[in-house]
Amino acid sequence: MKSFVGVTKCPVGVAHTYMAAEKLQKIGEAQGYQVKVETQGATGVEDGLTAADIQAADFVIVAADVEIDGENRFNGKKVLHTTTAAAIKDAGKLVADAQQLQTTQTGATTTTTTTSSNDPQQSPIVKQLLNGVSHMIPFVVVGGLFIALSIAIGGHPTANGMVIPKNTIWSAMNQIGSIGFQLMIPILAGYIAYAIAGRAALAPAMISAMVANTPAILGTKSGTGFIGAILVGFAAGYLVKWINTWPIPKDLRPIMPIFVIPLLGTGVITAVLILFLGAPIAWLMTSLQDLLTFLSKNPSTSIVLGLVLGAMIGVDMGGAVNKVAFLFGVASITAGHAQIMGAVAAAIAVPPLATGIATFVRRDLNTEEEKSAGVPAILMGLIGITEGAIPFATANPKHVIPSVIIGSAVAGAFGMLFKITDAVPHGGPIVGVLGATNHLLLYLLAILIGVAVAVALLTVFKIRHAKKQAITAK
Amino acid sequence: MSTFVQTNVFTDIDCQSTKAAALTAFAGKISTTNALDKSALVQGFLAREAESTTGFGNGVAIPHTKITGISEPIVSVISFQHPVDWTSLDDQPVEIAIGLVMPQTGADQDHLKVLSKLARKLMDTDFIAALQAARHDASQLYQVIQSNVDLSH
Repeated sequence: MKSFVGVTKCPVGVAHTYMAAEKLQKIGEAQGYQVKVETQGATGVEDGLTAADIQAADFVIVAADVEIDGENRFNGKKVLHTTTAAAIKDAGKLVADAQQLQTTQTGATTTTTTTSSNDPQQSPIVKQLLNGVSHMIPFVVVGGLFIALSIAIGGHPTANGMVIPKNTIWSAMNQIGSIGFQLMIPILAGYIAYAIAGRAALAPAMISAMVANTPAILGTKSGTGFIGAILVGFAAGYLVKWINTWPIPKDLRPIMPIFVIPLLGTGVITAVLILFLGAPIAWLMTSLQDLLTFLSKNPSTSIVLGLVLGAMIGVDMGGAVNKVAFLFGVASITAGHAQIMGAVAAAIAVPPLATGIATFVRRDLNTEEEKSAGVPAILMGLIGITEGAIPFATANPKHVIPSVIIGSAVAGAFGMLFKITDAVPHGGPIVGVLGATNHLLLYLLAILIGVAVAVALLTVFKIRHAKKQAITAK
Repeated sequence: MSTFVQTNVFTDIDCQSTKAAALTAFAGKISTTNALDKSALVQGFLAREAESTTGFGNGVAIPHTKITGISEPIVSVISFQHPVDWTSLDDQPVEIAIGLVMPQTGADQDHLKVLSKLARKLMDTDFIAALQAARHDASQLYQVIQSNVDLSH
């Protein structure tokens, strides 16, 4: 169905704002349009446009005598700017003029949604995902670098991992970084949902994503990490989008986005998470653990064990599967099989190092965001923080996740082959440099081989993708 | 709420057919009935007109302003004996003006919403025709508005 959206605003905000809105609504509907007009009047914003409304609209009419709030929402749309008087006088002409518009609004500020919309082939789902990723990246960077720096300078390798003495500046930095990492999950889910259904979807998505990452509520040993956050983001977004299509009496509409939708959305999504996701995740974790135990009992399968451990580290980078592999490695230290932790520690470094280094190979084919996330990812990789690869994996899961899984698996297998031991439950080159491994050079070699494999795969994917786009562009 | 009462409907007022004269006459009527400062009202109306005309066409205008000393908005209606040159959007003279006087600050959201409903209703040509037909009779004019816009909030 053809549709347009509008915004009206006048100086006093009692008369012309509403007259212009009414006129646009009437004329538009008479011409067969689906119309939604946001009024910015003395009573505040009414009939506020959602991201979904704007996305669905063929064009935008801004009938305002003063500057409106949220002009940049329309970047990338065809926008007609006019006065309330013009809308009241001849709304039909405005609709006709707006239909004829050829150029879209660029806007002075480049938001991430507009940079990613440069790609005409991009599906809405990818755009929504990227909206989440671009909002998440700063949190990953701050969290990751604070943690990395605090461990690198203030950390001591012990049997309990990299321990930072309490009440030091490094301890504070580490905790600040952890907050960044905790926030990354709801921000990712929240802004995926926001791109789908606007502000009302933010609360259900962010709260539910925290629930999905809180083992105590889910009844599991681990949260679902960034993969859970993505699923929650899309679920919340489309749920709210659907609720928005319900026929609601006009008088009840104002309380929908601030009251009904957040409560209903959060209730439904968290209930589904607890009832239908908790048990399968707990089962998956137990099964994986059984598999690892089985593999570790037989010395002849040690390389397979390394491969599986490495792959698991790369699958969800801090999520449930990763956690099983990591905890299995930690348990092996106390059991006297520190070579299992050695394989895990090598694999841990691969995803962030590989995705970071890959941004320097054929750098021209990378987006600006990828380029800026590259160096932080490498730093996080050196310190053994797998989460550094999450922005890349989220933005481009089809290429990045297989590449880092294979690279991590290779690093894990070589770790086993070289019989590397690691007495500290932590990963990345740092534990080797600090002397926790039995053979520093072989340890670094295992990491390097894994990184090389992953970078090669990432580069092949990247070049193939660029070629494919060049062909479709012609 | 007493937003709109029939004592604020004034019909067939005789004044010069300029916008300033019409607004001054209208402000005089409103200020007398509601015990308001006339000159503040006139200035407020004129200032709003200076920004852009409130004559939105079909012979009707909606002058409005904010003023101190009231807590609830006042809706008032006036019809003129001689059509007034209001520099309207359709260049037609104005026979009926609907005046909105709002509190300077702290206006109740519900009251403002009622006014926005009235403003929307003015885009309905049937409603405007009914206003025009009733313009010589205060009680009829009052009835037309009261029955079309729920001002009783």
